[in-house]
Amino acid sequence: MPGEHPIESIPAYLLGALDYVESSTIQAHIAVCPSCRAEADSFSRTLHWLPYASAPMSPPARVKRQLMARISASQQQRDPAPLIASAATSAARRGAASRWIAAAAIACAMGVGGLAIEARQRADALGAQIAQRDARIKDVEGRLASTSGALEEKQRTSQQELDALRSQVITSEAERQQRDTKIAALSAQIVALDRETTHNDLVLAFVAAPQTVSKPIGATPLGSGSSAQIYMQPGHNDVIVLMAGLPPAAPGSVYQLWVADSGGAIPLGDLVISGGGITEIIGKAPKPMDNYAAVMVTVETIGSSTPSDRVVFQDNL
Amino acid sequence: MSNSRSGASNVEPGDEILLTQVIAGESEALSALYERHSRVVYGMALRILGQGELAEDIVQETFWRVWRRGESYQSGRGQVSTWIFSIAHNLCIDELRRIRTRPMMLTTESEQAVQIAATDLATDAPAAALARERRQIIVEALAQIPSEQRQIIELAYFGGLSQSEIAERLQSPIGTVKTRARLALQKLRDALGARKLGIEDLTE
Repeated sequence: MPGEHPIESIPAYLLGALDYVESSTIQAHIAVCPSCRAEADSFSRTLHWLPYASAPMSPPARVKRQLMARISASQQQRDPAPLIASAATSAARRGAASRWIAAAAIACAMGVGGLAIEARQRADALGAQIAQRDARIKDVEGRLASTSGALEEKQRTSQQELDALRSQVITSEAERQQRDTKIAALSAQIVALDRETTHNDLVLAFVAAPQTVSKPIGATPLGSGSSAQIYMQPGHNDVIVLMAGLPPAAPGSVYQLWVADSGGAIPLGDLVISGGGITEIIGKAPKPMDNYAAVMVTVETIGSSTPSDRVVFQDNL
Repeated sequence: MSNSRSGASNVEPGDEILLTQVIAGESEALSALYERHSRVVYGMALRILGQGELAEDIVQETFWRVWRRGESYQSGRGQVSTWIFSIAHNLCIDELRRIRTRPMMLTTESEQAVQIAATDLATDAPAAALARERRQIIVEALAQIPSEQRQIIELAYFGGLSQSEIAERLQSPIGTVKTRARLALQKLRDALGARKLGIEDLTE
């Protein structure tokens, strides 16, 4: 046998005082080394006596019952009954089977203690496995929690973003409506401007027409600092008065154009509120303008039908 | 499976014959081995583990292994009972080391003496009487060897301590522990041999 002989360790090995690795090493050596095996065997009779040094004692009867039930159950598992059996033996086998069932039941009921060594070893291994699994489950749970937290956070963020987008859309819609409204307003302004332009064009065309005659209308002391000019066409009813330098009419009052004949004063044309710059009053007389003797512009309270004494311009035609 | 052989004769079959029958699947043979050796196994397990429940488990597991692994017994290397006891002893030591975190509860010899008086003296089974007789022999033999050597056997065989643990506990070099262990087994062998009692004389 090559290498050292572990003679010194053999007694400790025999007494069970080596750990698993040392013990396995010695065991393997003894198996192949005759001299060491002889050394070990020289103590075997001595070792045989040691167990007797403890007071021998009968184990409780249940220990043997459990053991025999376990053995009975294992025997039945080892030798399964053949499928085809004569009537005579099948009856016997039924008895055996019921005995086995009873034994198995006993093993189940009482075997817990009997199988305890193996069960405990398995339980230890299982316990370790369960602990590992628990740790893994906890880890996964932790990860799930943080993941779901992150997901919730993301969802919240997404929701917020969605809400923001939605409100943006709403805002955009409102803005669009505002824009539309503005556009409509602008369109109306354009239309109004067009109309005004047309109106102004018409005024201009009327004023500039060759057959149009004009004459200034004299200002009264109330209208001092301002001037007015009347434009008419012989044989026609239309009349335009352009005024410059008039202050805006006081709230609730307007500038009113009048023409007069023998029958009295007749109100004509637009009521003009604003002043400043050039303001025009366009009117249409009931008869051609040749029929009227006088013209005047007064400041009137809205709704009056006879001229007041607050005359701004006055002249004969 | 009836025990026709034992029925034909009043002579109890020897352990090796019983073991052959066990290997052949005869549970009655195992039952007989149990009747013969379970007391020693239980007593040893009780002493090593200090707990009846654990000791019961050891007994059941020991004979379960005899049942399942009977063929692993080597006839040239000691008796069947020696083999059975070594199975039990290994189980006890494994179990003891497993539960080592708990405080050790080694029952003292005097407590054992009380226990034996309380239980097994009442039993007049031949196997029980034989076990008591053998106990007397080994206890006397152990008393003859020096106490520091006996201590090694106590701590290792019944205490489940490893040689390094024994060295630590006794504050001795591990070499000293090894030497004492060897001397202890040699002295014990001599003491038992001086009684001129062969194992075979007591086996059957």
